Amino acid sequence: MKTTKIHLTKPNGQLDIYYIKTTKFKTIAAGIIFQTPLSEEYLVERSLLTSLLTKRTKKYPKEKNFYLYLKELYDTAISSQLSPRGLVLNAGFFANIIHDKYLGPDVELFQKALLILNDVISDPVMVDGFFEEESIKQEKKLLIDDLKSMYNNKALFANMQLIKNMFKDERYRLNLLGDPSVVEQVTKESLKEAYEQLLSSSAIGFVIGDVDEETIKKAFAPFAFVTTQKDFSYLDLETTNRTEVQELKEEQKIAQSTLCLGYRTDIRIGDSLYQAMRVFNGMFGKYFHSELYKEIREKNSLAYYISSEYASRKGALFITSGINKEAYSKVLTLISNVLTSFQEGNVDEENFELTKKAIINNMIEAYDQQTGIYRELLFFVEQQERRKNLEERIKEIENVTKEEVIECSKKIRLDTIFFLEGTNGDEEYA
Amino acid sequence: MLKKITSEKFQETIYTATLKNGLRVFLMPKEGFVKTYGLFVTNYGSLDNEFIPLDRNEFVKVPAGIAHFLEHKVFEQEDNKDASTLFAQLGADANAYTSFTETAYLFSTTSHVLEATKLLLDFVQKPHFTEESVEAEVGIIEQELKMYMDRPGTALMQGGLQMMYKENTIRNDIGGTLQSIKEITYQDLLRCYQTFYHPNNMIFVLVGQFEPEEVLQTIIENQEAKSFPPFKPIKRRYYLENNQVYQAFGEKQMAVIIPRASVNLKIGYEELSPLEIIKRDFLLQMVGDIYFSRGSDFYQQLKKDGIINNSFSFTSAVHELFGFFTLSCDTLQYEEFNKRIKEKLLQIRSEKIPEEAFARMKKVQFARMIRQMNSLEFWANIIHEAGFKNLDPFAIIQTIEELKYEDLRLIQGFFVEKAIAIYQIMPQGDLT
Repeated sequence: MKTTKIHLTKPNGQLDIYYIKTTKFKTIAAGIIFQTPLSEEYLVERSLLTSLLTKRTKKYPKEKNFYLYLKELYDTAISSQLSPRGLVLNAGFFANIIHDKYLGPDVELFQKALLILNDVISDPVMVDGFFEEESIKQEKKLLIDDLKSMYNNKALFANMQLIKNMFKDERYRLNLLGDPSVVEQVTKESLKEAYEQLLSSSAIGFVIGDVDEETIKKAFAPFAFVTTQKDFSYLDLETTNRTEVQELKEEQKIAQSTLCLGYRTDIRIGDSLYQAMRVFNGMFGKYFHSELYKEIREKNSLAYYISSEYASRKGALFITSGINKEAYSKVLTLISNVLTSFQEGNVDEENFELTKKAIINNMIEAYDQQTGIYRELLFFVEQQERRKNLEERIKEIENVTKEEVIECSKKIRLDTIFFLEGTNGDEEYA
Repeated sequence: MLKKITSEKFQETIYTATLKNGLRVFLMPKEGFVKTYGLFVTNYGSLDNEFIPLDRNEFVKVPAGIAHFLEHKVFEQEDNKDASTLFAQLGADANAYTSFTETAYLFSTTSHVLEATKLLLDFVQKPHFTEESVEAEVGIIEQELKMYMDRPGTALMQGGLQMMYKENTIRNDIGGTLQSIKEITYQDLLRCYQTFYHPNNMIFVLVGQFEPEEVLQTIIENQEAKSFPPFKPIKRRYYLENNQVYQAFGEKQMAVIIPRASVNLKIGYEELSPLEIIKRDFLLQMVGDIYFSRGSDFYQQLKKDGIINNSFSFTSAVHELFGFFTLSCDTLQYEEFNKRIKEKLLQIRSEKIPEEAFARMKKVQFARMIRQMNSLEFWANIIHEAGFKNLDPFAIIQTIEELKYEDLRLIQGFFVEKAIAIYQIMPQGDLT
């Protein structure tokens, strides 16, 4: 699957559009992504802006009418998302539409959808040069409610606490995107400044689907944004030196306790041990055949789920598991034993092979979903011509050696443990 | 022996065959995709708790959560092997799920499709669990149940169903209770397995990269090498209910900081053809969109009044054995939420729904369907669901296109007082 780059000349520069042509899907995904360095400044404002802007336009100033108009256009989906990638913050505005071939002649949904997207970003409802107070108030409330609702998802909540504490003095904590008290402080002035800063930041366009280049150029013609910066730091090298492991606990009246562990690996995308680290993570805890799953669930029946995740831009590794509170020490010991065993050079041949196969299968499979192709496109944006093709990347996984996996296991060190302790006994559910 | 079902409109073809042992096979090659998705599913879920087993002539009742327990144990293979590891050896991912009405085993792969197909059939048809391993599974399932117990969303849905239904086993959690899973014996599991995992009660679906003839040949050879007892239609006992709710109100305390409220509308049992049921399901979703989405005045008013937020959602399900329409939200104004939603629901019965709104939502239903067609999983799901109902999968899609404005009267009668139950999750201690 090839990524093509189109340069569109604008009065004030040029807009780069990344484009992957495929006939696989019955829909087309397209959008504009604004990129800035990840920082606390305007972060909450951006979060508010992404949701505020996608609800109405000057042409359709009422959310209700705007929504109905989109429904009329065969449920055209307009959405937005803030997503950090390393030390870069992407603010994306997306359109997802049904391909004209299922809708009959002259529908031209792609052109229409991009016009709407442009209106959403460039032509919002303003009163005296500011966003309406009422809308701002409402968005603030919605965001605060969203943040509060996260408390209800216990595994998510526990992981958030881990991140908050482990990266207290690092920008990685901004991945949590704000807390209610900061939201309250947003004013119409700060929102306007954030909006102006957003529009003037570096932008790129993208299209995934069965569309030709001419149509794309035509559809992106109205957009007034330009690509100004290309050398972003997609790797996060910040770290905190800790002399001993942080062990944190919080009690709640719930049935299951959640155990979260955060490790530092110092291995990131592009490092020589990067692919080996992916293999290590797979063998350690990512799959049903991983050592942690076998040890904690299959052999000891202590958990239903235990899994590890490798944050490859940060070089961090996280483990999450739902257990009984009494099992805390036992599970910690078992996890530590599994890791020590790797470090001592015990690399199970079968697990090693299965993990490589699974990673390769996941890499190939990703191309069957628009979201997977979108991820690939973002990688191309980051790495440009250096981006290796799928075959080369598969080769890299195949070439990982057991010695490299052992080396990875030796590099990882436990940083923080967060335990959300459930204090309800089984009798409460009898 | 493969029969072809084709849709001109969507440029898709499905091949189907019924084998001698009764297994129904559906094969759908998908151009351009690299992945292949396989699904082997039995018409047996958490609702099937009372039935006449293959080896008996009278009804037996088994503990709640047994279909799900069995799903866990089926993965256990000879020599202590685990089926997901066997799939991993082929570079494939395997998984399974249990719902109210079915248990499904599935894999996805980008290579070795024939081997994965045989493995899926073999592992489900030759499990190897023992009395000791059944014992060991209790601890794992206990943790799975606890994980769900702490989820307010799951608790809210479960509570809503328990308000609406008095006897229907839909009241039970799919996984059972901490108590009931301890009562499940090896013998119970075996009996359920022998009864419900007969090929005649199952469907096999493959979507992706393959030659249909070759796959069919592989499946036939695989099945003919195995022997199964003669099939006798399975008698199951269900407790079908009319639309009278069991209890109109209930609540529960949990570790939440904002109350979570729900208004549940129960759909009473009616003897209808499968297509008629599907039709009502679509219509109910459309009415939901018309009155409770961002495009409605009602929604906008509730938002303006600070009663609802992004957590507001509604779900509907119209099934042969049950049906409901549930609206829920995390909100401090839970009392107002319950009151206003209930009032609105009761108005729908006599409301004149605008024709243009109906036409618009029909477009939306159609577009949603097309959107889902991007995924192989969607096809596998609609194909087997249609298969169990003896329907053509494209006929389900066509049902949307054939919906008429007058059809709305089929569901407007659902919206009555006695069919409504409130259920809410409250924070522990005082509200601050």
